[in-house]
Amino acid sequence: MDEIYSKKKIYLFNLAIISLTFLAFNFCFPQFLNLPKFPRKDFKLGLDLQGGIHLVYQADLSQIDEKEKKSVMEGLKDILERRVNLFGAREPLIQVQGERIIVELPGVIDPARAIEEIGKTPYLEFREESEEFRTILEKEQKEISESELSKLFKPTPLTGRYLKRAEAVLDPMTSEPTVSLEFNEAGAKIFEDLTQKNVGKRLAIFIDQKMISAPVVREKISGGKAQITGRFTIEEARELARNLNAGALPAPIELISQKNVGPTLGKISLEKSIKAGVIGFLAISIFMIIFYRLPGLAASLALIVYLFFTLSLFKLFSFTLTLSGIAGFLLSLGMAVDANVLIFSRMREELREGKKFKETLEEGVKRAWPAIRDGNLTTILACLILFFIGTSFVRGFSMILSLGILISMFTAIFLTTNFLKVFVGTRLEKIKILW
Amino acid sequence: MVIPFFKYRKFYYVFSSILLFSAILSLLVLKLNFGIEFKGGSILELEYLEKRPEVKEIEGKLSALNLGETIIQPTGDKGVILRTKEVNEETHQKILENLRSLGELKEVQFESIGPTISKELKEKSILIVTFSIFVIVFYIAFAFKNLSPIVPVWKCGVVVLFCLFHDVVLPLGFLALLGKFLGVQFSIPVVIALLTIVGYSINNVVVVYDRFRETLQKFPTKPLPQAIDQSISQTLTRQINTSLTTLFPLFSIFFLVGEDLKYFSLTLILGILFGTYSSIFLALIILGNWQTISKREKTKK
Repeated sequence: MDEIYSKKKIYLFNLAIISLTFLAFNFCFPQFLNLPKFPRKDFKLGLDLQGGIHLVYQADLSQIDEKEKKSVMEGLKDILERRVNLFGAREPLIQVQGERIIVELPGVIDPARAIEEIGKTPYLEFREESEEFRTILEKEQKEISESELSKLFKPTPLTGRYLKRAEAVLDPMTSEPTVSLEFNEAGAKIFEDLTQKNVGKRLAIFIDQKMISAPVVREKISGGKAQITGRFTIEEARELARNLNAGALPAPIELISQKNVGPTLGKISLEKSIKAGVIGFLAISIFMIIFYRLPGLAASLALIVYLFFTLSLFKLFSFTLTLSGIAGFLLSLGMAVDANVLIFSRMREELREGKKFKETLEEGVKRAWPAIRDGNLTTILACLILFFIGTSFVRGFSMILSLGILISMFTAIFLTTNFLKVFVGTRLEKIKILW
Repeated sequence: MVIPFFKYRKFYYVFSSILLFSAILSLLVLKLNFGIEFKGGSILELEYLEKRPEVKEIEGKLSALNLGETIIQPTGDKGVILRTKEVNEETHQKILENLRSLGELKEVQFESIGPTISKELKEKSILIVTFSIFVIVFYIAFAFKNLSPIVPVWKCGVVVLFCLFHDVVLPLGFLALLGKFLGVQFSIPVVIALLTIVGYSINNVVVVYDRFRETLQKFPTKPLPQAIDQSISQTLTRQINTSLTTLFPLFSIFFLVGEDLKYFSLTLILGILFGTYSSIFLALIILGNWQTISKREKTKK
C-alpha cells in the first residue's frame, strides 16, 4: 500500500516538474509556440551582446570638499543622464563608482556622436586672482606663457553646480552678445561672498578650463545674477546658454576608457553563443546517454529542466546577460552533470555488488553526496572571491556560474533520482544493459 | 579492474618534468603578452564593405598620426584589427577618417583603456590571485584533515599545491608561446580561467584522496602502492567523465564563439586536461611515493 502511494507521489512530482519546465520553456522562448496570453518579457542583454558603448569618465574632485564629493558625483550623474537623454539614448545606464562615472548606452548609437554630445556638457567655474597675480603681471608685461596664465587665477567654490538658469541676451548697453547666468540660493550666497571679497579685483569665468572673460568686480553683487561677456557671436552665446541649461558640470570630467561594440558584432556573438550552447548541451546529453544509458537519459532530462529553469530566472529577475555570463552558464552545464556522473558511478559499483536497484539508487546518492557538496562548495567559494573583487567581466561570469551550481544541485540530484524512481519495481529494473 | 599506476611512476615524473620545464622556459624567455587591460592601449576592429586594403596601405595611412608601435592584423574576409597605444577620442576619429579614404568601412568595435584603469585592473587581479591562494591553502588544510592519521596534512598540502602549480603553469607556458607567435593576449578572462582551473583541480584531487582514505579504512593492512592503484582505478572513469562533460561546452565555445572567449575557453580546456592528468597520475602517486620513502628511512634508522 505504502509502495503504491509513494509511487503515485513520484509520478505527480515528475508531472509537475515537466509542466513547470514546459511553462519555463515558453517563458524563455515564446516565439516557438506563440501561446496566447502568455506573459512576455525580453532577456536583458549586455552591451557586448546587443551593441552599444561603455564610457568611463574620471571626475576631478581635487577642488571639492571631502564632505561634498558624494553630492557632486550625484550631480554629475544627473547631468550626464539628462545630457544622454537629450540625444535619445535608449535605456542608458549611468553609474557612479567612487570618483568615476560609467555611462553605458546600449543599442544602435553612433559612438562618435554620443561622446561628442557628452563632451559638450560645459564645466563652468569662477576663479579669483591668485597670490601671484600681481607679480606675474608686473614682471612680464609683454607675453604671458600658458603655464603662467593658468597660475593667474585660482579656483573658487562657485561652479556650474549652483547654476539655475542661463540665457543668451544682448547687453542693453553695448549690444554685445552676452550670456546671463542666474544662480540658485546657495550659489547666490557664494557669489555674494566672492564679490564682496574681491572688490577691485578680477573674477574670471572659465568654461571647460578656458578663460572666457575676467571682469573687475566693482561692488558686492547680491541676488545671484552674473553675466559672461566674451567675444561671442550671437550663435555662440546661444549655444553656450543652451549647453549650460542642459547641465553645467559641477566638476571637470575626463574620458579615460571606452569600449564600443557594433550592433552586428553583438548580434553575431549572441547567435554564436546560442549555437555553442545547443551543441554543448547535445554533446553532453549524447555522451551521458551512451555511457550511462537510462540514468544518462534521466540526467539529460534534468539538464533540460536546469536549462529552462535557469534561463527563466535570468529573465524573471532581469539579469543582464553578457558574453562572460553566457560562458559561465555554458560551463555550468558541464558542471551540472558532474553530480550525475558521481552518483551513477557509485550506483554502478553498488549494482556490481549485487544490490537491489532501489538500494543502489539510495546508496549512490548518499555516497556521492560529500564529493558533490565539497566540489560545488569550492567552486562557489571561488566565485564569491571573484564576485567581490572583480570587474564586470568577472562578475557576470562568477554570478551566473554560482547561481547555476546551486540550481544544478537541485536538478541533478533531486530530479534525476525522482525520474529514476519511476523505474523502481518495473520490469526495466531487471534489464542490466539499461543501467 | 586495478591498473598498476604506481609501477610506472617514473614515466609520469619524467613527462611532467619535461612539460613543466618547457612551460617555465617559455614563460621566462617568451614572457606573457599582456593585453590592453593590463598595460593600457587601444584595439580597433573594422570591416571594409568592399575589399580589404593591403596592410602596407593601412600602415601608410596611419604613419602620419604618430601612433607608435601599431599592430595591424587582418581578420575574416574584410576585417582588420589595429592595436595601438592608448588613443583619445580625437585620434580615434582621425584613424577612422584616414582609413575611410581606402574604402567604405564600418567600425565593428573599439576599446581604449587608459593607464589609470589598466593599473587598477592589474592591482585588482593581483589582489584576487593572492586572496585566492590564501583561501586555497586554508581549504586544503580543511579538506584533507581526514587523511591525517595516514599521511600528515602538511604533506598533502605540499603535494596539492605542487599539482595546482603544475595545472596552472602548463597553460601559462602555452599562452606565452601563443602570445609570441599568434599574438594571443593575456587578459582578465584568462586570469579567471586560471582561477577556475584551480577550483576544478582541487576537486579532482579531493576525490582521489577521499577514495584513498576509504580504501585504507576498509583494508588497513593493504600495502600503500596497492591501495593507491586501487583508489586511482576506481575513480578513473569518474575523473575522465566529469572532465569530458565540462570539456564539451568549452570546446563548443572555443570553436563557435568569437575572439572574446576563445582564449578564455582554451585556457580552461588546457587547465582541465592537465588537471585531470595530474589528479590521476601525480596527486596520489607523489604523495604515496613520498610516504613510502620516508617510511623506509624511518625503518632504516
